[in-house]
Amino acid sequence: MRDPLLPEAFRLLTHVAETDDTFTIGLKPLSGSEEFRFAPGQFNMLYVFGAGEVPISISGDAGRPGTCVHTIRAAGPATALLKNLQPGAALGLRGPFGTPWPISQAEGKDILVIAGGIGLAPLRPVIYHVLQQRKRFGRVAILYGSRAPKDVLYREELARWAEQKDVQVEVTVDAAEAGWRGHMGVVPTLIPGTEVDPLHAVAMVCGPEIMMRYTVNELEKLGLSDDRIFLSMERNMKCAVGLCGHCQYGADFICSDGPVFSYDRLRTRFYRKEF
Amino acid sequence: MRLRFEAQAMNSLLDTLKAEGYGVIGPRARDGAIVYEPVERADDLARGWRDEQQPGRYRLSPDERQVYFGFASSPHSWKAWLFPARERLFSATRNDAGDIAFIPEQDTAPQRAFIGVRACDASAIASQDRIFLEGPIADRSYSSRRKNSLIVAVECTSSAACCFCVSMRTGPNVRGGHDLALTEVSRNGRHYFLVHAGSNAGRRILERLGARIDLPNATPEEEQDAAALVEEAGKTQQRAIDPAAARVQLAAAFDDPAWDEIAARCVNCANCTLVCPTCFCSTMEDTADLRGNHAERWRRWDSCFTLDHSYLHGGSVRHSAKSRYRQWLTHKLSTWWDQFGTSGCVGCGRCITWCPVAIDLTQETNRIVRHEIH
Amino acid sequence: MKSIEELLAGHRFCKDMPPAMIAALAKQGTFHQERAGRFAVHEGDPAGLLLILRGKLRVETHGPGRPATMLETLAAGDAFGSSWVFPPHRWIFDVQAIEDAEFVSFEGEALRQLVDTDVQLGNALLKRLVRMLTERLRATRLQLTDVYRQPAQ
Repeated sequence: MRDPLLPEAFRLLTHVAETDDTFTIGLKPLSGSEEFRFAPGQFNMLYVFGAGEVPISISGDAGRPGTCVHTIRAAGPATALLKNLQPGAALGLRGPFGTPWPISQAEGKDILVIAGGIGLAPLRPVIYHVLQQRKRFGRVAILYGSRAPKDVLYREELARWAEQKDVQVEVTVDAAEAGWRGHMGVVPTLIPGTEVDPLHAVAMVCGPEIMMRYTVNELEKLGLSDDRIFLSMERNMKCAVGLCGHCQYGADFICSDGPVFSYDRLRTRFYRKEF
Repeated sequence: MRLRFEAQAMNSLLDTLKAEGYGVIGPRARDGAIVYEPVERADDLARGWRDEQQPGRYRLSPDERQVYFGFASSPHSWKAWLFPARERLFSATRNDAGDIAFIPEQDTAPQRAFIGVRACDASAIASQDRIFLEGPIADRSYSSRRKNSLIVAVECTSSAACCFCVSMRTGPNVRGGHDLALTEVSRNGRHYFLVHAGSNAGRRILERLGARIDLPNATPEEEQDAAALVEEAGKTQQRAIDPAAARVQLAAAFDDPAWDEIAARCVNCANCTLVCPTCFCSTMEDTADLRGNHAERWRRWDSCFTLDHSYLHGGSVRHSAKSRYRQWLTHKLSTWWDQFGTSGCVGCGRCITWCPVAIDLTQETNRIVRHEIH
Repeated sequence: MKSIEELLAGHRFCKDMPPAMIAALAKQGTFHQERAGRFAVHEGDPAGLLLILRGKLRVETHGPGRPATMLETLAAGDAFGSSWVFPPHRWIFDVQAIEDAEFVSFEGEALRQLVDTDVQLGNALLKRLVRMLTERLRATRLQLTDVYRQPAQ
């Protein structure tokens, strides 16, 4: 078994700008042998030669193994370097790591995907899976919020999904210029208007913690039970295998006990400051 | 059934270890402290030194008893030999075409015998074994070092003022985790060691040693004398905490005002995490050479007391000094149980001795436990 | 075509309101439709309460030489309007339909009389108003927090 602390060499095949600070890359192993497989919700550690490593959620289609897809926001030195990599460049990859979204547990139920900002990236594999296996799920609602219209990710895909009669898609922004004809307001304000049955729904949420706290409150008001609300948590990560101690969230290591947790498991910790 | 050898045969023990291929690491007195470094001969050991430890204070002074192991804990712990402060994890090369290749570290660790491992430190090694060997992945480097180490434990026959292994149930008797365990007796003009093996590797050493020197069974009086010394060491301990109560009460103490009071004193120097034999946090350092075709990743010790430790999205999650001390103590005495099935603290007292502002973990813990119970 | 009473009974604002209360309230409400691009409410006009049934509207404010600043959007299930409670009883924002919208509207004067004469209904109305405002304030503050901005921004 490969040492999980040793990266594997991958080649950048595609690089697409999504917004002015966010981009999507497609990677394949240099050796070209094995297909890259992952479960929705998992992440990889991407290594820029000699410069550093960052944890990035996998945002591609888990049902189509092969190219490994990541949507990345350039927010620090390592991600800024990743942004400048051109197709053909080599980088290192360790993974996949982490616990996945509970998609098979959600079969037969209504699905609420709630994302804020870059949080849509780790949820896109869920959307792909649910829409590909549409009959296995009940009603599907995708609620997504961004800072402004220019920051909305996956615009064409959202429009395509919105066209499907059996999918509810609501996109909102925090701020907009006069031309915006969509919703305006924070993502949790979209929750009361969703068409899912709260007693038979599973919610999967990813975004800034402030937004997730508010979202959880709204989901509880709607009637979802704590064990049907799932959140993707984030902390500083270095090793991604539960050894370096950085990502500890109380007794849990976000890298290996998470990043996906059910809210009932987080409840006593979720409101603590500086935790 | 323990065996006995005279103290002047210490060189024979060291020679036996060396003959079996072990490099011996043991306590030496250097720069005013006991340090764990390579030893060749009995004279290299810190014989004739005793330590005085208080919160924020450590002194070595000559010991007229002239025993080999007359001191308690040292600023060093054995973790530096099993989980080094800096080590390379891999190298990588990049050719002109831009292709990267990753080169794993291949070397296996040399065989080493650690002599002078206290009961608390043997527990600490067992604790780190759970982290580095028994988790979802086994750390390659730690595995190699651990497999190639021989633990020669030495029971404490005196306690330092900061010791509290009795209340943590880790000592002063060596409970396990040893290949050999020694008890040093210096009494009524006699000076000898009682020894027993805790593993096949230990038994083999004793066989070889028995070929060099006299290794008779210990007499009942000798056993009694040895046991009495160790028991006395336990009885003189001045500090104690209740590990079960600490586990429960610290988990409930997130908002306790005591943290603010500690924070006013703690300077976040990270000494406690550096001397603690169970702390395991590490970070990665990635470097490349100037030409950009050779890179390395090094792992080094890290501390939850740094702002970097919890850095996220442009700031630290644990920004205040208070939140960082709280994280350390709560982890050490409470959440460690949930993660690894034991307390993270072995009662060695190093953090108390080496804290520059003399924060006493036992005092702070007991205060919080009392608060929370009321 | 549903009656006002039926429309209110199905609206989130009136959830858990006893039927008799809904009936009393319904007497003061009128059904409105506005096409996209038309204003439901103008800043400065006598204020009232809107219960949105369908479509999408935007709450905005305007200044000279600049396009209107949008503050939030309203959709089915939302309630809007609290300035009717106290003087000067005037709308403080514009509300314009982005998509064809339907809503039930209540005049401020009628609501003030209702609150003074029917204590129980007034109590129920004002409690719901406070809840609406608390939720809107929370949402607005989260908007202001700008959680998606880059740390450097």
